[in-house]
Amino acid sequence: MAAADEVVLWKAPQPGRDAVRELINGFDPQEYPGNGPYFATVRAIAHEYLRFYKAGLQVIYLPRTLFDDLIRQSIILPDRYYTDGESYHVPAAGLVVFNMAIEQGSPNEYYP
Amino acid sequence: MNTIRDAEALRLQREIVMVEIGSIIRATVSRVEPYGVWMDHPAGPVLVLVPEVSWSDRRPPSQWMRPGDEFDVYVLRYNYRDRVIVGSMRRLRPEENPYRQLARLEPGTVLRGRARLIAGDAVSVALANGAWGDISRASLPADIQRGDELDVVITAVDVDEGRLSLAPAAITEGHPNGAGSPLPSRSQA
Repeated sequence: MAAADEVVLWKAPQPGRDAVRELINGFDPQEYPGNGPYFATVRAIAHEYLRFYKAGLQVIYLPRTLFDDLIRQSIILPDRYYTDGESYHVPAAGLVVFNMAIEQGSPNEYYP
Repeated sequence: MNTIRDAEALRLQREIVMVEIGSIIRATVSRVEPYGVWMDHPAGPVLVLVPEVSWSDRRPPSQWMRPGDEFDVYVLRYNYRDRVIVGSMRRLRPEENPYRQLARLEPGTVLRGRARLIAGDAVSVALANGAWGDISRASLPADIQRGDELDVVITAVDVDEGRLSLAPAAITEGHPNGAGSPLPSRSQA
């Protein structure tokens, strides 16, 4: 469960992804070229993808200050296909930094 | 002189093919991806993300959409960075929207749902008509498990976005057994 000063990122992985490994070892830039993986801060958005992909839900806890820093550094970018603040993506070039960041919050979770 | 005239002609041509947010356009499928459907339109590429394809059909679009197919698309917004029209097909079918059906219910109507996902600080509950909503985990018994049935009431619903907030139903005289009101199943909705 999220601490008060954490941002929760929700992701419904596509079928075939190793969702547990991604939370342990991070998101592989080679598996997410270009725009990289997308994460919603609105749970309902992830639900909608979950209902199509049927491959569970990843929950990532990120300290808010770190999240804000990564936004400022353009490691995390707004997802322009959604309303501002609802969804983000991490281009492949920033995944190494992002993967280190997601180890800093509460333990991440996967719900199959 | 010709250059200025050509530039003006190009500007006018671009204006003509601009699409307005909220309008309906006819677009042609160019590529089907797991996350959504890319389409072509004279004003530029169109992306319908997979949740915006249908309110009820959860099959991968690749199973029933092919390049060359044409569909009407509601223009939701414009992605200025990538220059992509963001569209929706499901919003052209409000009669299939399970959240619209819920919004017509009397406030306080008790609904029967099933816990589908217990994650973070909320439990996601599936209702009989296919809508999903979230309920605070703190408001439920600590031993709630996936698959448990529970009676809930609506606290907020966003019909167009398909977002629903729920709370546990208090047992009232109208519902002495805590039994949820009958709600048409998805096939009936």
